[in-house]
Amino acid sequence: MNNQFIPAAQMLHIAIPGDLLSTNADQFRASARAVIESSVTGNGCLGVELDLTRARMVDSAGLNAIIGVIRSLSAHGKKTLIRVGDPHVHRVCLFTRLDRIAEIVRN
Amino acid sequence: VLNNKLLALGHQVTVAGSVREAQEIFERDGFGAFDCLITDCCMAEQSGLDLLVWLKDQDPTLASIIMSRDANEELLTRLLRCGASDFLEKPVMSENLKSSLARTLESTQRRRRHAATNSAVIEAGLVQRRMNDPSKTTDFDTPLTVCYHPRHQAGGDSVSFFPQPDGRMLIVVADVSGHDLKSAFISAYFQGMLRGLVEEGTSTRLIFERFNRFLVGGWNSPPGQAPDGLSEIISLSACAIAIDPASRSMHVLNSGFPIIHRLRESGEPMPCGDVGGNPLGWFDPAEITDLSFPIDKGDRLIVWTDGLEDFAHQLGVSEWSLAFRLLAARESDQDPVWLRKAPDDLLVIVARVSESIPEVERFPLLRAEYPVAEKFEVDLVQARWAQTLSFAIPDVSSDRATDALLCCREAVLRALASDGPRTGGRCIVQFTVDASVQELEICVISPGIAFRPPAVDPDHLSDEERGLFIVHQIPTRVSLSDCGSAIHMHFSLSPQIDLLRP
Repeated sequence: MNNQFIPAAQMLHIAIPGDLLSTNADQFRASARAVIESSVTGNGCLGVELDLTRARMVDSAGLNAIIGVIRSLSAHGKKTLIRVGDPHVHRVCLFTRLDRIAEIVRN
Repeated sequence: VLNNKLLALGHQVTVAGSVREAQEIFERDGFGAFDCLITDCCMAEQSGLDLLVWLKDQDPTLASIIMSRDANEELLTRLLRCGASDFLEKPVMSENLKSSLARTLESTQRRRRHAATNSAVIEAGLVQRRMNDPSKTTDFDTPLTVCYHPRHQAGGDSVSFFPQPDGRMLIVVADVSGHDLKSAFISAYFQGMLRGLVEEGTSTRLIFERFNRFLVGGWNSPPGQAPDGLSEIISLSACAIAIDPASRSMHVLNSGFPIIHRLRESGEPMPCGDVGGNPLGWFDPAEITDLSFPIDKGDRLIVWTDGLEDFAHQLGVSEWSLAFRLLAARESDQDPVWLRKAPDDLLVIVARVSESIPEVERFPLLRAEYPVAEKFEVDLVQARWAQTLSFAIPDVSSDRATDALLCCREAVLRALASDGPRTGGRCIVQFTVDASVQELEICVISPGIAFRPPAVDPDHLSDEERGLFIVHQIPTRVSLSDCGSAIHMHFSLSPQIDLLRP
């Protein structure tokens, strides 16, 4: 997982290098939590841009981890933007109503 | 001068003054009338190289000698590329001519022997394919679909079909060890013996026992007593299936043959017994398993030789997907490129054994059972599903394949997350497809688990419910059976229906 602050948008960019699945969701959850606590909360950052453009599959465990991140940010008054590339991932995000709690942008 | 030297060596010579004249002589007398071509490299209109190129295309078995005053490296390279058998530097010495001729004549004879053998093997292979095609060996409408791919031109796999006027039928499938011409001869011998004895009314068990004695006592004699060139053990695994549609039963004799399966109307494969005993030819008396099975409405029977299992393993796909792909490709004139890597002969037979024919025939692509284990390598298993799916249906859209794989993953993880005793300690996954490849069905069965959809609003799903929600939302349609412990997820493979999806 790579993260980088984008000053112009005041958003922290977190890139997921591939699929987000039951086999790596816990690792993502822990890394995301650490990044959010150190870089997002308590400064001028507006939120997180979660870059899933390299993912071709996100399963329910991956979705649960994303929802955990969204809730955590939301608790601090921060927003989440999810960038997806694969149409299948986009459809799963819509099916599971992720678009109601975060902004989904399809590249 | 050369003509006189050749005559002095006792050869018959036909002389041509140009490339054109030589071509006319070949066309008039035929290439078989000559044993060697000797030509000068430099001639007035066309060169000796032009003649060689033409000859290589017309009759590659006729060897040639080319002569020139200039033996430089470039010329020799060109001669080799054009197919020259030998080179003589001018002026030609009698001794050199004599030894070159001896080599070249031998080369022509060897090439012609090889060509004749190759032609005979191809012919034998065509005869074998005809023998393995029941529609060409019986007057009855055959309920068999046969797909046969010998590794070489001819091989050791065979199928014999004996229909009876009252609807009963006998199918005997056999596989001789090895996949060369010798295996093809043993296979043909077995088929001939089988046909003669079956028509006499001899029972298949007795035929198997007789052939076993023939192999054990004759061909597989102890070292020193075996016929020439047959010191290795030759074996034959065989399976005889007697089908009686009226009484809805079948009787299977098996000697070292892979497991045969009944295919239910739904595409579910049901194994008929186990791998049967030892193959014929190993020990006397023969070890033959003997079992009876019921036949249900719409049942088919599928049989394959062990070459299919080895090839599926080599490709990293399921046997079912390979069988499906072979059956789908059987009408094509040319063998697909991937098939050339098969390590053994391949024979797949599907027999319609029930009097009723289902409206939609489904075929399995994968059937796997996963134990409930602490460490389940879901990514590895999913990679195998993906490989199997893309192999069986090469033109499946990646979007639809991902849909199917995700839903299968979710269902399996849900099943395996439950405790062992509740699920019976296992989870079964089955992929099936209809004959026209319009719809893929993935069925996940886990005794004791309910795959019912979550009853809550999608906005308020718990972490556990989200996976279940996915498996009910993404497929084109979903149904449950066995009190909810089996989920059937259907995915349309038709692009038109794809467009209607959200």
